[in-house]
Amino acid sequence: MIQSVDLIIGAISFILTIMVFSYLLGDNFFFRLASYLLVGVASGYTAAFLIRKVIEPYLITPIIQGGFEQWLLVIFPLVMCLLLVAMFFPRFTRLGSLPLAFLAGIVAALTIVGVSFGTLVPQLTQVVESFDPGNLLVGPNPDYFKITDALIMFIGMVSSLFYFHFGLSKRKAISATRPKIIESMAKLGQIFIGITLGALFAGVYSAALLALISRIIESRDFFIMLFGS
Amino acid sequence: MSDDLLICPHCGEENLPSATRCLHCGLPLEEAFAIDGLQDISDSLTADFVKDEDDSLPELFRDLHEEADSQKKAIKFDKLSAEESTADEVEQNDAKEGSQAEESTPEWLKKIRQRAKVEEDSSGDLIKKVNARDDIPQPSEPSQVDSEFEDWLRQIRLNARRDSIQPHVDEPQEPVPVEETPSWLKKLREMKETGEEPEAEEKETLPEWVKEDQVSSPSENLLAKGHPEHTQPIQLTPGATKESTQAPGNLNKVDEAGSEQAKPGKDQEEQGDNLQTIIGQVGFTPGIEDRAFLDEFEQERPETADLLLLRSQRDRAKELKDMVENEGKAGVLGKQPKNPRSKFFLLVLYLLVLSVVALPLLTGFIDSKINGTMQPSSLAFFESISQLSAEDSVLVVIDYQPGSSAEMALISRPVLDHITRQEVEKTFITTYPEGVWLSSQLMSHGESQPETDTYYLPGAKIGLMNLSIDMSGSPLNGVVSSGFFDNQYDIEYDSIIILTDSFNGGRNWLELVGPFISRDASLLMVASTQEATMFLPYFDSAQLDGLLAGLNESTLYNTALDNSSSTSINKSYQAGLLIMVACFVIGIITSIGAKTRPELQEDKP
Repeated sequence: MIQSVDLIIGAISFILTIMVFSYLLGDNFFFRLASYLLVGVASGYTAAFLIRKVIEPYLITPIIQGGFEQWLLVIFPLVMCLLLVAMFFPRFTRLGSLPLAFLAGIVAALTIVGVSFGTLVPQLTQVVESFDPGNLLVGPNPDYFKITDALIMFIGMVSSLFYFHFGLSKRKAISATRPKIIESMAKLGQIFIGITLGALFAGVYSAALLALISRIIESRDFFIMLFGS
Repeated sequence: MSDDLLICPHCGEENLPSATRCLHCGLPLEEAFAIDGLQDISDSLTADFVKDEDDSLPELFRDLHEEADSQKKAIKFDKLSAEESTADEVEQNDAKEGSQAEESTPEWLKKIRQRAKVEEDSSGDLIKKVNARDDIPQPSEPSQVDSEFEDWLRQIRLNARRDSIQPHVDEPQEPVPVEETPSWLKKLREMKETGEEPEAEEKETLPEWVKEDQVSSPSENLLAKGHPEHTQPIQLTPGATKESTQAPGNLNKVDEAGSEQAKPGKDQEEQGDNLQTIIGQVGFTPGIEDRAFLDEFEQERPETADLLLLRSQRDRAKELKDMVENEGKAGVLGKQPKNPRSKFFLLVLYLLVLSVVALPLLTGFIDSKINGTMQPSSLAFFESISQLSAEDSVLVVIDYQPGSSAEMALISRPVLDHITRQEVEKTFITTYPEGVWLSSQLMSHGESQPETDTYYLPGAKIGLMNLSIDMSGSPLNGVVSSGFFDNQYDIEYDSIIILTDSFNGGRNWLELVGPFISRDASLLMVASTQEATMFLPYFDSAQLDGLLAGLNESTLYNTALDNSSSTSINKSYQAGLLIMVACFVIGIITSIGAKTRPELQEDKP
């Protein structure tokens, strides 16, 4: 029985894989069908999961079974949810702005705090520490590898920051070009950013390649299961 | 005296024999051009125009003429005698300055010139230029013919270009009131609206001798088609607009003719003879001294550039308007026809990649240990896990989506095997709804890993912050911890392992949870190859205690665990990467070639 279920799942999986691969011949009905299936199944699964794992235990159950304290805790999110639901009706769309503003404010605050204390401060500290003489020396001799590494890191960081500098002084606002020093540093930063984006693109290709390998292995396993070794 | 006078066929008034147009109605006098060959021109060029005007113009002018008729009759004789005396004086002067060349000039041409000298205002551009060129000394050496002809061609091209541009910048004409519009003008407008082919009409108006000459000689072809002065009478017809808008085509014809003229030898001599014939007919000789005239056109070129710029702006505005109108419409940009050749090439490339990647996998799995050296970040990861013992607890965060589950599963399995061997207490948590079944799928492939529940943490960033906040000092401490989270997300773990395929997801953990965990606890990350670059700075800054990323590192990690790995997957992966590099190199070479090709073409004369 288990093997027959696996066989059916394998067959569906193989057929869907072929349908997606048919995009090689151009956009067609089978590819679109597979795409719609993916979106539909994912949406349905997420909705069912959230109802069962979030709304039911954290909203419905406390209302039905909980005490006064639970009621107090639940009443605020419940009102917020109802205001969000009001956005479905054009006449009450404005009511939905309140919970959205609440969420956006909290997320913005968390992002600022997180980026400041979780990324900027530690990264800048790391750059400063990389020039610590204690790190750049191996005994009495300088460690040229570390020195080069620190220099590249420093130049890359500064030039990348210059690349995103688009400000102009009020007096020179008439000319739309940045000062020459900033412009040249920005071009240097462009190189570092280009290398980073290139590495990211290679990563995307690598991930896609591994997904392809995985699909081929799955298909091969399906045929082995179907026809034996 | 009255016998010599010309009777206008349109208004019936008398004119001097030398008159080319009627002094009373302004229409041309055919008799003046009653010369062999040229008679046809005036007849045919003006035939349609006169024919259309016969109905309306005489009516317009008739009213005027009736009012002034009595006055005209009174002064007619005096006026004619005065003109006759003026003409006699001119003839006498001409006789004094006469040369053999002028003696050989036909009688009709003499009359034209005399008339033009007397009535400068009424003479057209052609006559003025003819007179101007008469003053230029004729070249004596036949070798100058070629250079002069080149100059002449250049002048013709400039004229043609100017005429081709002028109609496009004509100011919009104000609509003439319907009542005041003459019938001939209405007819002209109707012809424009109905889109009748003025070219055909023009061809019909051209006399036979012009058509014959177009075939017989390219230089005469130039005169008939390219020279604006010769096309001037035609511009009176509706075809004039069409003619001028098709100037580029005419220019090409002129160029072709010009290139034919450049051929040396017998052709050159024949063309020289043809040129002399044309010069004889037209009555002037282009010379090197015409530079001044050409310079005059050169000075007009900035105006031409402005006009071209205006046209370019208009075209771009039209394109923009089309784009705005087509915005959001399906199939405008998306369904651009693809070159079938490139499509076939792409298909072949895809199949090649597919076959190269699939070949090592389909030929069979060979499991073996792959030797190599791990990266420092991977080595730190391995050592950190190795230090865990059975009393320690580990929080495993499933923070990747189904799309990258293949890669993440391949990388994560050795890690799960490792912590299973260490016999630590594991807790699985996910921030994605799909993470629940992804984690169960991950655990099912491990070596003797007992399946545990995976908890879902809702709220993304806010949920992570909730996880990090120490609620011990809060008045809601008892309320929240008593039932809401039920202490299941206790952050007091000895190690947190984040399995992520997203930089943002991983960074949220680093920024919102990392600063709040115990100093003794280790924060480790398993990332996809795609995001490894972004997480390395966090390892360098000691925010991460270990980072394992990519299939190669995972394979080496497996070897470090004394496990064997499938070489087929590695071979397949490396083959795919090789093809990617090859495609990049070919793409760079071809794109460089495509960029340099137009430059080479531009360099060619």
